[in-house]
Amino acid sequence: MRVRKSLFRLIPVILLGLAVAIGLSRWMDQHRQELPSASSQEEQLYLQGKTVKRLSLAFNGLAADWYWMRSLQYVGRKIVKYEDSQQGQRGLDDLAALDLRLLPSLLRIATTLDPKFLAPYEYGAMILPTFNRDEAIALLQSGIQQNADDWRLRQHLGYIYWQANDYAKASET
Amino acid sequence: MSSEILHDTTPSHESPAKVARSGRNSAIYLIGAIARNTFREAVRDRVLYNLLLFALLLIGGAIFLGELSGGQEAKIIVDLGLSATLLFGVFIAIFVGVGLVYKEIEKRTLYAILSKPVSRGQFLFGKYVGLCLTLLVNVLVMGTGVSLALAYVAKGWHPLIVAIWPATFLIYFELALITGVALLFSSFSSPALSALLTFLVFIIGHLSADLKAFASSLGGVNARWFFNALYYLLPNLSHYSFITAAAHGDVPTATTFLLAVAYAFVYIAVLLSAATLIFNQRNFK
Repeated sequence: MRVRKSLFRLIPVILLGLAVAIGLSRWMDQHRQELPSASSQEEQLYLQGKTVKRLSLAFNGLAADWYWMRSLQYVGRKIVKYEDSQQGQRGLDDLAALDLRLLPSLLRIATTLDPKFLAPYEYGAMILPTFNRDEAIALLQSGIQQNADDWRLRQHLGYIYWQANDYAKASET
Repeated sequence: MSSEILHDTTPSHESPAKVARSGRNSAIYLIGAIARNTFREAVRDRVLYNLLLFALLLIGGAIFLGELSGGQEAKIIVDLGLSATLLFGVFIAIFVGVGLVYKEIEKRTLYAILSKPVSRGQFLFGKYVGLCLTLLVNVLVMGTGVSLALAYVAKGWHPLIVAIWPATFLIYFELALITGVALLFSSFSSPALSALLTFLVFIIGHLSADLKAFASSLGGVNARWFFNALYYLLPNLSHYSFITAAAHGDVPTATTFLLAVAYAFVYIAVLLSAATLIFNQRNFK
């Protein structure tokens, strides 16, 4: 009897408490204080690849996957934001307009955690040359060093050199 | 556990005196009985319920990763599945392992067991084997779950379905080693402290390569000697880290695998001997 009584008393408290918490959370989201610095709204990278590798213990593969998916979402979010700001008036011609300043670091961390993970190298080979060719070359060179048997990375690197009109290095690669 | 173990250790067709005399066979029988009951106890304590959470994680991963991973579903399923196998296993090894001895003392069932012809060493070893059996069931079911999830995302056969198994068995041996560490600490310390210390050993065990690098970078001979000693004395768990390689279809060579297994057996023998040594000194009066 006593148990049932407390049940009837506590369930409304729990439900009411949850409802108030959800309401408050929504209100706080809508009235979030705008921070003055634009850079603080940018995603932050707190750790370098080697540090993440140490901290990830035996889970470095999973951490690499996390950074890989984060880099895909980073680019995706920037594209959506760009399209929203243009309101469909202008198409996206140049990825440099997206200001993807964190992408090289995200891909670096993913490949430091799992050097044999080819997808981040290939993604970097396609996206990075549009705004930072040197980073793209460095990423691919480290990829080739770690995966000497993989011809695709050499092909990507050769293509980047070819686009930069550096035909000697392109043929060398 | 007490009533069953008492029943098991004194079977109806043999008198206790005969059991005590029959030497090695009876020792194996006693250890088997304790192990069986430890396994039953773990099942009764709903330890294997973690498999449900694991199944949900894999099902969720298999369904949603297609959208998020940019064509890397198989790799991420392996990383996610095997990492969860290790993490769940470590939590079971630590939190069940540290309570193995403590619970028996707390419930006073230990007195009843040790009043039978069971040595303290046999008791500890039986407990250890029982938890290892629980972990084996856990790891085998989880490995099968990862294989099924791979078959689902690949819509049929995928080479990783087979390639993950050596890494899965290495995870099991790592868990067996961690269980030994937990049992050693629990033989002289409280469960909370034992859990903390075992978790620290797990972390340091995965950072052992850094210990060696740190030792070689030091100028002082004593400091170098100290960190080198730590590197060799603490369990080197990096020998069992093949999750990332397994996700690329790389399997350890037979020599690597067998050496890792041999290292686990040797280290576990040391841990259990030390635990027995300490447990034998304890006064339960």
